[in-house]
Amino acid sequence: MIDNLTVGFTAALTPENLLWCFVGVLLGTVIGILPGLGSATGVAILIPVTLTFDPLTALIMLAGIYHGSQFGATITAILVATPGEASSVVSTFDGYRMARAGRAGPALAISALGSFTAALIALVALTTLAPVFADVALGFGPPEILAVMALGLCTIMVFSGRNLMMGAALGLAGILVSSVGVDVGSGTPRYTFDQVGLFGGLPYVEVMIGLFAIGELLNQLHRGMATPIRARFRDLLLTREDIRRSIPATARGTLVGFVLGCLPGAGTTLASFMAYGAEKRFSRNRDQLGTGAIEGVVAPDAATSSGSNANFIPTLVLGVPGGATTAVLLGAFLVYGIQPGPLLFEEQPTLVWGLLASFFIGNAILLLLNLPLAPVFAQLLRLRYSVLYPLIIVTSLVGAYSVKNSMLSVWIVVVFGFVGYAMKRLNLPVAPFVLGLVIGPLFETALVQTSALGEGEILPLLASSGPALTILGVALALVVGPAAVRAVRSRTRAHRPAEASGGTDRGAQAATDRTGPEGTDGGTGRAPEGEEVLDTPRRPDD
Amino acid sequence: MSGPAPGAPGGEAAPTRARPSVLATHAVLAGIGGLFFLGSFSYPWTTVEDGTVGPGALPRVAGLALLLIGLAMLHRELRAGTVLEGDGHVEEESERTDGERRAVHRKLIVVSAALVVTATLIPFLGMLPTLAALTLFLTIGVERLRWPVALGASLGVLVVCYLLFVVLLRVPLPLGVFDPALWGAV
Repeated sequence: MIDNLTVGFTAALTPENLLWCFVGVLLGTVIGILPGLGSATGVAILIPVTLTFDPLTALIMLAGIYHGSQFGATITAILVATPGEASSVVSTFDGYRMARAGRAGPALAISALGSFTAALIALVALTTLAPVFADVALGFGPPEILAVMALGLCTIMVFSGRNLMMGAALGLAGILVSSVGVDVGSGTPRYTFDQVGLFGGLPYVEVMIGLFAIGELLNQLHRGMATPIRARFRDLLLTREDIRRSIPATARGTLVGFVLGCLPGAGTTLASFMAYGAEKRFSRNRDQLGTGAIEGVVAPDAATSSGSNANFIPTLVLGVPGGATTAVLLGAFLVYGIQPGPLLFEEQPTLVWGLLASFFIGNAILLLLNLPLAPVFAQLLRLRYSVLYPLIIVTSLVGAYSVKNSMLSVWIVVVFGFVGYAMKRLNLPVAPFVLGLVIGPLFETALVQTSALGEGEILPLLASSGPALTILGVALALVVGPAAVRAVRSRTRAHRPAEASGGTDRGAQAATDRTGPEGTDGGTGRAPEGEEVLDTPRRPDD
Repeated sequence: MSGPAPGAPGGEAAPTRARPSVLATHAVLAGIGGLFFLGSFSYPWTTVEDGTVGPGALPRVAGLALLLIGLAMLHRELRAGTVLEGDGHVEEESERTDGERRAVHRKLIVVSAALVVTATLIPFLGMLPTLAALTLFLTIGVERLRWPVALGASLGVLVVCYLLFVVLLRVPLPLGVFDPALWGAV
């Protein structure tokens, strides 16, 4: 690993790459702060700008934007309760309350420090585990890849919220839209209406610019903006108590974020919500959560940071995006002619390790920028949206055109802008649609290859492969597991009042509950606290 | 945004009246599934050469699945009106007055129309002049900004995009009537 990292740092530490890493992180932070521009949007808009770059330099800059915007989004979430990213929604719960109580500085500072710590731990794990996963994945043939794609589709469905059917429906809609164009197996044009421009399918980048940039812009015009608050440098000082309380929360958030970030399709939003849920269950100060507790800021931000790094494991190793932004980044890889997957580590070691090394550098730059400059970045909120949104439209349209030098791209942006707006207004999660769009062609390719390998038969090949069966088992557990757990819990709850009314001693009952099944809360009969967080309505764009 | 009704277990609420926006969302999804499902019959299920998965297989299965899920969600909404996260429900904007709501709707319609008109005009007027005109229209016509600010923004857009995309990236942006080749021919 040391040799690989040496190769990576040698590649990433060139003056040019350092400069673009800095530019990416800086731009990312600004993009995260600006209303209506999330990391997916920022990366999508700026892909055309990087087309003339060396692929490693371009990816370093785009990854810098990704990491930078995650933190920038937290700044707006804390200061004005306007999360720039879906994963920053949780930061509004306690961060905004801290800001309103005059503690914006500690909230911003602990967010930066927690994110940095989590990123470093996640990166060590990423650089250690990614090659191991890649070695395992090298043994994967079409049946195993097909199983991985099925797992990706299941995670999309499961992690799109409690509404499983809507998650599945939007994932399927994404797959169907991705089927427009020439079929991968036979070369037959499908749903193209003899339009040559559609033979290549609906391009990812343009669709994403439409969904995220124009869709969010129209949504912002509908919603209006909150009033900003000033954050001063002298207010950034953390107390010893703040740090003491933040350490275990950061550790929990990092772990939750990393585990969930490794799953294809899970995204960072789920990680941030789950980390908050973990705090509500395990934190010593859980009663203060929701009232401006520092654990409520640092744990979700650590989870987001850790998850956004871990997202690169499925993206680089399997070629399956971890979330919406990594889906756009996957599109960027393809634009540069690079196919992510297990072979990437063998065929392009300088690119992969250079990119991973740049994450370390980018996160260090991010901390150096964010700690002292967070109040300065916050001043960008004073830029009027009435000036900003025409610029977003112009950048989106020119950027989309420059991808293929085609007016079709401009129309795709406009049409999917309206689709994105409708989805946001209707509170439909965009992530399942986007991931369906990305996974659709990969799934079909694996399906065709497996079918060709089995001379038309797919199931016998899947059944004869241990890894494929294991992965499919995990996929099934993901879909069926939560429903089964809920059923068991509701049955347990249904039994409890009956036992209590049967004359059970109250103290003995409480003691029994404490040693009872996980998920009970000491016999009060309330729902487990972690679940309340997941029920909280989420922004639909991750 | 919709969410589980207070006190409702498992994110579900007591039965309520079916909501039009939710019904429309589910119907559109079912319709998309149905269209792709029917369209898939134009393509073979397996390839003639080797019997492997053909171009019709994925859209047929995914289209049918979406159609069925859409119909199931429609049925659920009609039967129970269950409030679930991300189900297509639009929350009422109670904090806005009728006038404010009308103004927001008007602005959205104008900006949306401006997007369509811009995309239509680009081949004729060229990319950069059309986008500069769009910026001017939005800043003055829609946002009522002062002329100097609006002109500055429009000129800034023109100059920055020209430098970035034409000079630096050498993207052949459409020039429309400003194409020198056109004037040369005339």
